[in-house]
Amino acid sequence: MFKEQLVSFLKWILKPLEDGISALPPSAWVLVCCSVFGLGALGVLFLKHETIYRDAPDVSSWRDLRYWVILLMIPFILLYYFLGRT
Amino acid sequence: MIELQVIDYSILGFYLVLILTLGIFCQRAIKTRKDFFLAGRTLPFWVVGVTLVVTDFQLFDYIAGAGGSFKYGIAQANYDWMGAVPAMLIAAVFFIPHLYRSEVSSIPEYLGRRFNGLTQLITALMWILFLIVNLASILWMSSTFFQKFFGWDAVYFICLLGGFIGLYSLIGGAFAVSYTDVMQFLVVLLGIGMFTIAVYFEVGGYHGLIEATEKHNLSEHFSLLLPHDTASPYPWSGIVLGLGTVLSLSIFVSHQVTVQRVLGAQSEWDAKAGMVFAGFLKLLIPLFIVLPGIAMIAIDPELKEPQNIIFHLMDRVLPSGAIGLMLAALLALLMSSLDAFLNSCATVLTNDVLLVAFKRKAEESPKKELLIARGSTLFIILITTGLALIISGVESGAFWVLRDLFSYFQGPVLALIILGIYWRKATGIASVIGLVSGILFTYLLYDVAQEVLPSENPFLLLSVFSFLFTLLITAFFSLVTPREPPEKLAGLVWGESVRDPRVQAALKAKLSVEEENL
Repeated sequence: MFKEQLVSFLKWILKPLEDGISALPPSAWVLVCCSVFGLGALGVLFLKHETIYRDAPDVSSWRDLRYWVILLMIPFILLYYFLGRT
Repeated sequence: MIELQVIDYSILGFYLVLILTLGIFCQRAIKTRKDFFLAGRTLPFWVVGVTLVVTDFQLFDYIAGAGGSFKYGIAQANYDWMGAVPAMLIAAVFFIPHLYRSEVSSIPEYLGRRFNGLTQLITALMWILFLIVNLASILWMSSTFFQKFFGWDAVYFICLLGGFIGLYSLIGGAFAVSYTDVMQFLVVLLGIGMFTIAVYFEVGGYHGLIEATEKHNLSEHFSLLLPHDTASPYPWSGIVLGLGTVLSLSIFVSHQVTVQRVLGAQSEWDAKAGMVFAGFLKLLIPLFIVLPGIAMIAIDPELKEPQNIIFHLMDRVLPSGAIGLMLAALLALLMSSLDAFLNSCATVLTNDVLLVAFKRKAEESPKKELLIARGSTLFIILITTGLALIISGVESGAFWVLRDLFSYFQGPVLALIILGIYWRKATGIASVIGLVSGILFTYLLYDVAQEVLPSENPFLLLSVFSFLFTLLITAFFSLVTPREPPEKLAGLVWGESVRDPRVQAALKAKLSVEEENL
């Protein structure tokens, strides 16, 4: 009895979400995925210098993790853009 | 069955001797419990990155992943891309610095200090149970594969492999685990890299792969994103909302095995850089997993047992000698995960159960602590080897059962870590209620998930609901229970340094000295 009520309650909650997601075109899926990586690359630009270098042995520019993250995100954006939906 | 020649055994023997020698060499660095469990917090970023990736890349991820790629194509790569890299970045920026600075050795220890002993005990027991089940299942499952394809006796295999991993982990602790992981990664790159290239040329390169999928009307095999209502376990919505959020965060933020590797870093910068460096290495992994799976379509599209693809292809494309190297790479995948699981399980048992039970009397004596740590490691390897010998009949289905089991408490633990670090109002009583009800809710939801959620296997979305449920319950009860005293939160909650009068006084003193100097 409880299980049935739970199922119908969850279906009621999930129905609009389900419908919304199902209605999205493939280009939107690709956009969402590329945005995840793109926002990651953009987000690190707002990190403070001291946050990046905290506890680092020196402040040489190769230790700037912001460059690392941007370099890391570029191939993923390209991968999801070109292979997201073929 | 794959026939091994003398040269294959020689390569394998050389590799095992190398690993054991390195493990024994690491013994010299072990003086205290922290050395044994966190490699004395001395690991540079590149070791942290490599050990993170090779621990996460398990033998059954490789075997089952190749099978998954055969059935569903490159969508399988999401596990290492969308399902890892964004979470690694979030962990590196928002969580690892806090966990590293709190100087804990384990996730239950953080929860114990932030909330209470009961939360620490419940999570510790769950981790121990989960890791023991995982260790025993992996030992057993791998033995069945090696028996089937190389004719090695399963009982001997379990005992020898358990004994071998136990030996170098017992001697060298986390130092051995981390530095042998670097060696294992090189062997994986060499062995599996060579195998992947051989498979690629066997099927006629890129054009051969495209032709095979088009011929069998499987062009969707080259799509990373599959529709929401796909018959596969990888709908794009599940990948982004489930795998890309809660499940991957729980691996890189609140998974004992993963986080412990990072806590061994020599500085906060190395911990963060190790995570980001691991992201670069993650780019490579799907290539190894996906290519053999898709290549098999060109060779035998009607293959009945996709989980055997790697072994079929090994037999087909590799000559003697190369088989030995590939076998070493497969064992490297197996051992790099098992040694990390063993070390983490022993950490939780020692740190969060035994030392708490002994009221930390052993802390007075580092030697006694180290003895307890080694005793825990020995106990766990004996238990898991014994359990692996007992369990039977699980075969490949156990992989999915384990993965489901994993999602049962990972969501709730992640919710507690987030609330613990970022919400100073979260209380100990609420954490216990949230944790227990969250786990029970996940079990209940698992029972009805097939009826409510789309896709063949809805486990990806299950974790999201268990996480959200725990978050809400813990938040609600935190608001109606007494707050934690500020002194308890010192050093454990984000932004606490702003409110801590001692930290502010120290900063003011430093500022005045600098002004005087000017």
